[in-house]
Amino acid sequence: MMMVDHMRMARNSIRANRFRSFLTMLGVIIGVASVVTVVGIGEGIKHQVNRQSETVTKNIISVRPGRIAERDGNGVITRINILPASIQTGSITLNDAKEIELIDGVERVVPMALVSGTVKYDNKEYGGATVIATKHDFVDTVSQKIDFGGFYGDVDKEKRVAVIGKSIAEDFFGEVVPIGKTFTFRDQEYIVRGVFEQFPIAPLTQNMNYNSTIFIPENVGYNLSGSKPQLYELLVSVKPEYDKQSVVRAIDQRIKSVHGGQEDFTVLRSDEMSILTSKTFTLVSSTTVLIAIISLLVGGIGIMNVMLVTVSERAREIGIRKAVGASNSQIKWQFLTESMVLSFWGSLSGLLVAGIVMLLLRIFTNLEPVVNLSVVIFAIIGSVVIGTVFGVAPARKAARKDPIDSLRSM
Amino acid sequence: MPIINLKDVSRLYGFGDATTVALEDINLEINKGEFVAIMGPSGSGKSTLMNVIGLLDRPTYGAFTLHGDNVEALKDDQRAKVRRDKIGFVFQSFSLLPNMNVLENVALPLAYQGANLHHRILQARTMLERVGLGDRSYFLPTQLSGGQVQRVAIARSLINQPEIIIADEPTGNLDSIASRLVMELLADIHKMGNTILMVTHNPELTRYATRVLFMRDGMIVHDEKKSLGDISESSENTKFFEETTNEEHDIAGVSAMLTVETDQGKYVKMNPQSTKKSRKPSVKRPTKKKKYKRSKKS
Ligand SMILES: Nc1ncnc2c1ncn2[C@@H]1O[C@H](COP(=O)(O)OP(=O)(O)O)[C@@H](O)[C@H]1O
Ligand SMILES: [Mg+2]
Repeated sequence: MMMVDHMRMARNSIRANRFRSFLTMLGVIIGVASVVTVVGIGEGIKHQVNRQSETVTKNIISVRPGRIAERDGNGVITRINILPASIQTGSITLNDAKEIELIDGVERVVPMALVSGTVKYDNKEYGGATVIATKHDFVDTVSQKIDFGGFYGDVDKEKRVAVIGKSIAEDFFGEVVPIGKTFTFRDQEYIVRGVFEQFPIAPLTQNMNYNSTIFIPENVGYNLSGSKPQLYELLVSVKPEYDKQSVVRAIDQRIKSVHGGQEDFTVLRSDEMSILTSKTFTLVSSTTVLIAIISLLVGGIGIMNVMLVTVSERAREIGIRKAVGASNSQIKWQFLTESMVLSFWGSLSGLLVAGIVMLLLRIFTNLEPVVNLSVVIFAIIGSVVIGTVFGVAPARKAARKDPIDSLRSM
Repeated sequence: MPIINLKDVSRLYGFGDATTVALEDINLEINKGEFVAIMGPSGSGKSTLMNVIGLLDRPTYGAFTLHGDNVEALKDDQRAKVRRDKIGFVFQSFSLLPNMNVLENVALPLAYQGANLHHRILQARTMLERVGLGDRSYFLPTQLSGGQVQRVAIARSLINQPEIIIADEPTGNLDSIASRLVMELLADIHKMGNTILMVTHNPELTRYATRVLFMRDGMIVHDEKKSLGDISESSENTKFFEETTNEEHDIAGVSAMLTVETDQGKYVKMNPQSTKKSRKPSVKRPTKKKKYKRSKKS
């Protein structure tokens, strides 16, 4: 008897008892599906963060209010608060921006200020927009293309013009090119000047989603904020010939002394954001592997239980097979093969479920989970190994069954 | 030399007070080409005898040679080999695997022999043609009638060209027409020189046999050679089918004796539960009690 025969028999038996086979595989299906999905989401976020830091915020130093991260003496980040409750404002000021501009190596400083209020268009209010007041050189700093129109210039400082993110164009104005359209913000009319190309976004990070942001000139925004603009970030670009890390250190020291020794702000390199996110998800991934192993074990126990019950139910079959000359080891291999095939199909079904879940996440959320090939291979091989290991006990039970008892049990 | 030779073969089940003597000191020689019909009341040990001869079961005591080779002490895998290569089984019911089609069922013994797929299918087809079911190759067992199932089982039992065919009540669940078809098939096979052992309750069917054994209480109580075509006279003798009852049984409340009237004749059947009870050696055969003490061998 060859492996092909065992395979064929396993297939027959699995097909003939679809529901039972499904129950047997359930543990493996759930285990594989959850592992592949969780790893996929983590990997997806890593990709998104990397893409963001390699394009939009490349070569940028970010100064933010509040203490998001701690550094050791060498400037290496030791701890990060990866998911702050909300974007903070308050502890950094325009004066800080001026101080940074004086530091050697700094090319330019772009203050980013939140302006509160809701936007209205066609008498409809829209709650999904963030209004940010920023300088005309924001567009050069983030090196992001404008799809339609253009960004406002230095001369537009006092004009009520706006450049909007792609989601705003589509969701708020309901069209791709709402150039020249006007909307109302805090009882004043603004004209749309330009629409940004889609910004790469990364969920679960502190970065603002610029796709649903309306950018207005700094002075217009500051006037609406009364005396003190709500700065949530200073974007600092560094001259190419300067070392970013030493600029970071200089900024850190300068602001600290300006703030009277208070460490109520954080200075981060853009690449640090992505490194930190990667680190966090590597941690998540290793936890996932642990969960994976546990759920596969549970799946294996499921296979073993159902197979053990099956062996008793299939006493007659075992009796007939032995009567026509099956040896104990042939019976053993038949049942072992069945466990292996079940776990293999279980892992494939789990992958299918994971694929569907990830697709739905891509469609309905801003997560972009990716299929990680090594995880897929691990899931399949792991499942088959587990199926084999946990199939041994039922297979031995089947092989040892006395043919007489098996034939009498009718 | 006889193909089958049993010497003082006993088969005991259980131990202590619950010991059942299914076979007791059986001495039997069967030669090549014999068609042996085995009759006897339910619980008399017919199936046990078939299983021992078919190497599905081991005698507790005694010697058993097949073709002069001692087989009673063979290991499981060697016994499997003998079953695979030399013996064909036909059971009373549920003899086919429900998940496989007819062709795969018939080819199963060849699969265990390790034959290649092509050869298996070819052989299985030939066998199915032979039992007149070539057109049912791709049916599932559930799509066949009882008689067809038995003919497929016979095709399977023949596929490894066995020396001995063991059929335990192959017509037990069949009506007389289907029965006849199955018996003609067995008679055919017998004519080709096969040795056949068949358990039956139907005296009519002894017509196909060259020898009839009657069993009771685990013993062969009558052994008769006869010519083909005749119905064994003793098989009409109901005394062979009556259970022995005595005071013990009545005290034990055994009243499960049944006279069953079927189209296959009239015979007395006994509830196996009570049969078992009646077989307690301590009750029935106090003189032999010692011999049936639990032994290391069993
Ligand atoms: N595996 C077993 N365990 C216990 N008792 C058994 C077993 N097999 C058979 N017996 C007993 O042995 C006796 C003979 O059984 P069996 O050979 O099946 O009789 P028959 O086939 O003539 O009806 C019965 O009393 C039966 O209960
Ligand atoms: Mg029987």
